Amino acid sequence: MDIRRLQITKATLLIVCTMLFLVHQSDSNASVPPDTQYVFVGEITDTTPPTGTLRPKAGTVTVHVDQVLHPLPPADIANSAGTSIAMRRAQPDAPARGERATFYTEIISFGKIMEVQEVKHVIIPATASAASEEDQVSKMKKAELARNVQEATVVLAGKVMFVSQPPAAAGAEEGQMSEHDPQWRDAVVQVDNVIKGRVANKEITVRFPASTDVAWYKSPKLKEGQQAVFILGEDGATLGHANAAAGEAPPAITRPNSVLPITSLSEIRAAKKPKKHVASEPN
Amino acid sequence: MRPMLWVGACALALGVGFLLVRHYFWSPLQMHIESGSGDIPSAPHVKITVIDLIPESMSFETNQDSEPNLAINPSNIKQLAASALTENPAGSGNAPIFVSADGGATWTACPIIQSELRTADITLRFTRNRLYAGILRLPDKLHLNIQSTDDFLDCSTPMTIRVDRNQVDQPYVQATDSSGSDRVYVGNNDFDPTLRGRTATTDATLAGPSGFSSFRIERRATSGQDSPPIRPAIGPNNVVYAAFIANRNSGAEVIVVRDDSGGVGPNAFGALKDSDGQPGVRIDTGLTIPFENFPHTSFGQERMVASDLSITVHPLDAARVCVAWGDRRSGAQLTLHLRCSSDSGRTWKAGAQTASDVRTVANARAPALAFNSSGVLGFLWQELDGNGTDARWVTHFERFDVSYKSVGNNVLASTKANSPPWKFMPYLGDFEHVMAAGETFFGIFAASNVPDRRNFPSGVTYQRHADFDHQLLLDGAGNKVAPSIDPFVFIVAPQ
Repeated sequence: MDIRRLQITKATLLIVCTMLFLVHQSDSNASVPPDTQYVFVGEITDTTPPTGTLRPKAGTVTVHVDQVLHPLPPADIANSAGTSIAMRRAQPDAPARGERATFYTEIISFGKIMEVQEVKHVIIPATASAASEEDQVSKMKKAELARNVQEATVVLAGKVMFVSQPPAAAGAEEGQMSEHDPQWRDAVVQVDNVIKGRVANKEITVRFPASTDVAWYKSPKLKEGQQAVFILGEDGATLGHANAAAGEAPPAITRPNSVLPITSLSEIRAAKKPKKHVASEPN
Repeated sequence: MRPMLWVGACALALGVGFLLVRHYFWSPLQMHIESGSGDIPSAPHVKITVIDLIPESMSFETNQDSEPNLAINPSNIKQLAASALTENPAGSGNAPIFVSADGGATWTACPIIQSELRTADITLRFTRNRLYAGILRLPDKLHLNIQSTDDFLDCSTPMTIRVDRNQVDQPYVQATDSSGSDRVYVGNNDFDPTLRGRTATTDATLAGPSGFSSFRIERRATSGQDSPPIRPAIGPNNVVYAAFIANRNSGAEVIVVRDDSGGVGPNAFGALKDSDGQPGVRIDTGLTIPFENFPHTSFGQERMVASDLSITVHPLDAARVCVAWGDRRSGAQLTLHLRCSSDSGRTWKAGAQTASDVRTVANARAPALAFNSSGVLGFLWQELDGNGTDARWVTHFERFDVSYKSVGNNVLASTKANSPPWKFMPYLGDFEHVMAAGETFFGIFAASNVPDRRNFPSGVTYQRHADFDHQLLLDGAGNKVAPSIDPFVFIVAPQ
């Protein structure tokens, strides 16, 4: 191999590596780190905490929240833009007062003012446009959906054919008089598409809590005729067995994001990253 | 005796008499306005403070913050902790409680309860500087946790788990350190199948925050289980009571049990026996206590889940104990009964009352009781007034003197019962709370937060942004916020 070819190869490798790094950076900026609760675009307006901070600590600064990127509506905190909050900095110096940044934070408390702990930040160049911030919101939304899909065992699209009470033997707790009784219901779902995982039958049964109690009101409530995308966790694996309906309890749908509108199907398909270990697809 | 001496003696006697009456009856001059029930104006000798405890920085929130509870640090009554079925506003993380270090004037939400987003049940109680929480932990079903912290103002550090087990309902914590170490009692309904339906239980320790054990307080057979509420009450001299609702084939029974030596051990709560020789005096029997776990349009959007029960014991005289509960009779959805005993729970006809009930309130719910240090009994409840779109939830706080005569009945809130619409059950809460520190009562209730001064005849203070002139809630940026259910702390102090 002559020196010229070696240099070209090195240069190509450098370019590829740089591109991969940039793509990775872009992705990691878009996604919300697992322990991060509150992501916003803001500006440090004072290097001391605002008045009213409960037990202010050294390194706490005042930040004005310009735009909330995470969580998004319907979370009420999405409407917290336009206020000044106290932030304990992760790093003592950066960004400087007056600089804008995207802050990734954890919530400490809500008092007269809100107090957060900075996890990380990304400086926003002065030339950045509002459109790029909107784009960031969109990326985060997609990243959250992708994580939801990636963590699922089975993702499928289908139609709820009918809903009924589970058999009496569904659980000893069914006879309990508790205000937190989930009031389980079984929904038979006609499987139209399997996006991820293995499903052995064309019809499956999923279990959901019909209760309006505080413990269950956010869980999806399925109705006959409803078309939806079902994102099932670990117990979704039972659907891969041909005898699942006969011998095993149906997977329980309790998380609010376990059932998404059928209109989100294309987004969900896009969110699914191909993985070698994913089981075979539909029947 | 010369006339001047007579005048002096009479003046002295009048003065001493006045002081005695004030000491024992607290507010004697109010007694003349107490004969009726309903919306009696604020009595002149108490100062009432009502505070919406949602912090200013949570002005954006629209959560249904129902089923509130309250605790006061006995070492520093400026320090309070409160809870409700409040979701972590971040949409992730631990469940919050509210803390105050200035006597309840301002509050901070601290997400320190180890439970996903919120709890399914939560009650709080302090011993000396240590805060205990009895919760149902989410996302699991009927997952009991007893948690504690020695620094409840540290919002960065989650509470420590002390008890962790499943198949348990409605934990309700009481605690004291009057004997030098933490005595903690958590009433709960334990579905352990080995109990064969005798589900009424207390988890207790005399050496908190560790050493909890379960003690079964139902000794009779049930028709399947006891009802959800099991309420302990701690008296002086190691006396502990508990009240619960037992379900028999012949109907429901309100039961009071007592223990005179701390409430632990194999025969815990066995001191008070009824005519059948069994522990637990049956205050009333053959009752209909509805368990209807859905929102009732005819009952102000609230459910009825047999959880309307409260018990209190005099802090200096363990023989004086009162119980309030709700049952269905005479056409009302739910009727509250307040009944008291002056002989350690053996009999339940109190003072000069000829009827068994000290107080009966139709179409009402969520009774809560507390004695103050002078023996004045405080009674908190919510009454449905009116029908249809005119219906209102009216929150009352009534006081009774040592003879159980009413000495003040104040309306703390009167808010629309059918607005805002329910998001989940319970709408206002299956229970609420009142307690006392010295002569001052502290309590908490849930109500609609529409900022209208006519809704709060005893006055109100909001921390969250509110425009009372236009009855609007606002967020930090001045945008309108939809009305919701908020927890309101109230303080009734002698003047």
